[in-house]
Amino acid sequence: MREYQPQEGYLGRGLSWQKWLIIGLIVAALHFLPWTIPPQYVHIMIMIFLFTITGQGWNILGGYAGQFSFGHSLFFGLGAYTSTLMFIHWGLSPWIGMVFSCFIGIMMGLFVGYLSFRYGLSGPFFALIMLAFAEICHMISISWKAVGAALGLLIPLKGTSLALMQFVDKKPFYFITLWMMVGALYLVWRMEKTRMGFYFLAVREDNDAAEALGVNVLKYKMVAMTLSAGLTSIGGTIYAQYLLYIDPDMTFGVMNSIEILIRPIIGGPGTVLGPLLGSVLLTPLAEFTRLAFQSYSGVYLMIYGMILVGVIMFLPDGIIGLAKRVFYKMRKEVE
Amino acid sequence: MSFTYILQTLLDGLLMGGVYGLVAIGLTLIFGVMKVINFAHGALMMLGMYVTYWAFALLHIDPYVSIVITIPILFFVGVCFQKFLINPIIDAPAHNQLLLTLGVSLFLENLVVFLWSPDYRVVRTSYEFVYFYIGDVSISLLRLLAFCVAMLVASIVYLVLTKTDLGKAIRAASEEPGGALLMGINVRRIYWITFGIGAACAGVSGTAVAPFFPVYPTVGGVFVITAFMVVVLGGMGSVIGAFVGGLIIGVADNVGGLFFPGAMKHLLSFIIFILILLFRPAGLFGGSK
Amino acid sequence: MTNTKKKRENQDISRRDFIKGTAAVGVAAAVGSIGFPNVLRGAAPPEIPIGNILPLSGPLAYLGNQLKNGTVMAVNEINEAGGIRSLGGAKLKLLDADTEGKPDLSISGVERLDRAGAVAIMGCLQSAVTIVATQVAERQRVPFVVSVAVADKITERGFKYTFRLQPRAAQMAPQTVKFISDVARQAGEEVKTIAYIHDNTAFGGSLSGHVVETAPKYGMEVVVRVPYSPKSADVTTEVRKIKAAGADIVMASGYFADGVRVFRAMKGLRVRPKAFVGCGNGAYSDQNFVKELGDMTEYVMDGNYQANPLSPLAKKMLGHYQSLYGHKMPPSAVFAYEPVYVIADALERAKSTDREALRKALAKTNLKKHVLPQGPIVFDADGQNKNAQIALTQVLGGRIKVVWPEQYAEAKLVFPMPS
Repeated sequence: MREYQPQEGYLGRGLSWQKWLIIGLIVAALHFLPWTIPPQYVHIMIMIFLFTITGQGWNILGGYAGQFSFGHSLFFGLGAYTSTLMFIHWGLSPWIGMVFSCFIGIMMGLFVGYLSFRYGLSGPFFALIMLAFAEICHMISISWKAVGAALGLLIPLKGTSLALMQFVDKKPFYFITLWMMVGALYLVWRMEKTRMGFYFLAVREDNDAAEALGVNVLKYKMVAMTLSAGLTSIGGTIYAQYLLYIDPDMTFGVMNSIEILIRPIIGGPGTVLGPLLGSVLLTPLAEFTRLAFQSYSGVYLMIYGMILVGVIMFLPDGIIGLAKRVFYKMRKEVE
Repeated sequence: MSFTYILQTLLDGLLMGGVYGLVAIGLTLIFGVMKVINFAHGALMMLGMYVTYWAFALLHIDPYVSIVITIPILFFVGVCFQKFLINPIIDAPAHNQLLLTLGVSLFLENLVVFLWSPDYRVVRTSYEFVYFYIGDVSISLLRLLAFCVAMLVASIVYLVLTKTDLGKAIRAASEEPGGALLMGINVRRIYWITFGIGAACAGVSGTAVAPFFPVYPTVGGVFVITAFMVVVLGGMGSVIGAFVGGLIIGVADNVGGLFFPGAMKHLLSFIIFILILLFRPAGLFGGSK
Repeated sequence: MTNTKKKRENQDISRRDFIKGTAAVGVAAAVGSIGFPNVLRGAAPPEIPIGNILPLSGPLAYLGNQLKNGTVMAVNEINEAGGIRSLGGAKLKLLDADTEGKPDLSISGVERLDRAGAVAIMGCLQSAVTIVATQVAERQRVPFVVSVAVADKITERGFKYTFRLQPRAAQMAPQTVKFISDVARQAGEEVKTIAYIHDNTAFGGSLSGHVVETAPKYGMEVVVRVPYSPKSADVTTEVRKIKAAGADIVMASGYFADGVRVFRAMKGLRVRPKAFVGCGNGAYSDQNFVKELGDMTEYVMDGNYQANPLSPLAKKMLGHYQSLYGHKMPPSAVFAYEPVYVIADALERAKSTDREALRKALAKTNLKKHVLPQGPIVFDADGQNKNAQIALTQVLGGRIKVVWPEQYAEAKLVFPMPS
């Protein structure tokens, strides 16, 4: 199947030049934002971007290929710890460390993926086995002295430069995460209409039918897992460098898995903008309720819970699904 | 490693395992009948613990007596849960159901944080320091009581399932909902009754451990993961499997503690869990799935 | 037909994008305009904000609030006595930040206090949290006076803005071991083996590490070292290992709640050493430990930071706390109390609320008027209280008394524990 060919006057995947212009303007506007808002909001934007990246990672495996993982913190944690350990012990630039993080994450993904898919685990069973593996890594990171045990790892301030991914100010992180997010969105957007992308959908919709039609289900699940694990691991590296501190709970914890998956689910699983939308909605919510309810910073989770329940019951396709339906209905009325 | 030490380890494992079994029974019932994986089960247990705590703190009711309060309250919560939240999505894909129950779990846990703060609470009893000794092996009265409660409730549930009409209806609805419907069984009613029973089991297990476990909002998290492992091990839908599975996991955790330090003691249980998922997903007592 | 439909669909999508984009920026701007509550920056300083980062909720809430009590009492005492005289009688204003026991919340806590203009920050009870918070403070150049946190690393990083009052692990642990050896010698008892149970965080880890190293110097050996997670509610597995070791001395390090749990389990499993000796134990020096567990706590010892029970200033402080809060001031609160005085003293000398000036003044501290069982408070190049000393306490007749060194002792100790 060839990639969709645009009509005249359209650039790439059927979007008119006006649309590209608008997207470009928005991205450009985002570049100026950090100078116009106070630092605590820059922090929130960085978190939005970062969670979009990891959410998009989850989305490839869960939203597109339909394999819901409850343990994506596994890759996040591996990514964070890998680059951090290399930075601490060998002074390796986190950019190169990120490549290793990606590699380790992918290796783990292939291992777990092969075990699970080869033995036909799917649906909630797959979700649980991912959780089990994430918890095992969680336990190891708590107990193993060499990776800091329960104390975690503090990333020493070795100076400020792009190579070290350490800065005095938040702004460089803003741009790093912004561009990585744009990259992740672009990646998934391109992936959507490739043959591989369609095979993911086939696997998601009906595993057995796809198999019967000759799709190598195992292979494509593994490919989805690879992309997913790699992207999420990269998110882990950036998070570690930004916060300059990681511990087992923040990285491998179950809560982190939930934070990663909840954004694409609520935004719209299996869509390009789903993770972004979910992140834009949920991240500021989390940060603000944390401040408003200081001692009870878990309150935002209560709201998460309600939103999640509401979305599953009424909007199983997420907010984007709702938006699509509304727009179709509106268009039908116009016609 | 003396004989006493090993015996003590196994005994502690069995006692705790009984409690895991009770938690798992509720979970396996719900799955067996409705094919719903209830991630909020730990939160239900936590609610049971808080009911016990407040009965103790405000009304000075002994925790074991407060079981009679916990059962109806949690049963009611379970019924509401099923009727208003689960029923509408009973036909949705399984992972959506899992996500919904996750959402409920998040909501309940953090509602409790909001209402009653994340501080740890302790239920005190006058007999909490009572230990029995067989030679040098000690048995805590509280844990023994927890085990007895678990055994009792498990037996009651089993008897209900096998000997009563309700139980037969439940089993019919789980094996063959269509046929059960044709036989005049109100399958919808069975669903919410079962969920109520499952929730009540979770609540009772919470009451059973409250005397020796601190009570705090996220305590369910510890138990829910273990409960899942037990249910998968025992076989989804099998009450006996859940109880036996609980004992096995309880012992595995403690035996794991012999070899692995600190947090790693659960490693053995997790490995068992993964192996079962891969190689015998029906579990030890599960039927063909 | 399909083409125009597609075209419109695409336009719809992009319109949605645009709306979404502006909405996002709009939300950010709108929220920005609400703003954050502004704290008086002390332009004409009627108030000097100082920050306090503690676990005020969550599993360590009990200890965290005790520390806060001590700090609040000190702030009020100083303000009632006239505030900071060299700054025109400016009063101290305490700003709290709750970590809930989590290190990552301390990061936002420090940043928030920094923005609110805190001239100095105190905290954080947990070593893990303190290590993280002090790094952020160093980056933001805010003086941080550690009230309670024992890990050595906190004052081993060459930081200029970190100061610590309490004895660090490298002081606390060897001193405890020495005291055990002295006590044993005095009682004519032989002590060869130690079984050590401790929490698996930087707190327990650092202390036990030092004990393992120092014990051989006094002819003793740590035969088993058992870490447990303070979050795990069931510690019987770990305690069983302690029992199996059958050592002369059982040492324990942990916070209050887990310290209580562990001790209870040890008694339940009939662990019977010559003595239970805590090292920096959050439970063993706290009167509530005795209140909770009753008689079984008799004779339990703790090598820990303490107030000097014989000092008149300390007696006044203890009396004040007792009348305010209705129970005996735990040592943790003492070490949340004294840093306020240290900061106040530095402010007096600095004659300014400029953070850099304050930092320099703190570095030059030589405070002789204090409540601790040690010489003057002087910070070394790394910010550690050079002369910090611990004392050994014991539960005697249901009261916790300092029993060693003899120059600070309130009562005579009992060793070994009668069976």
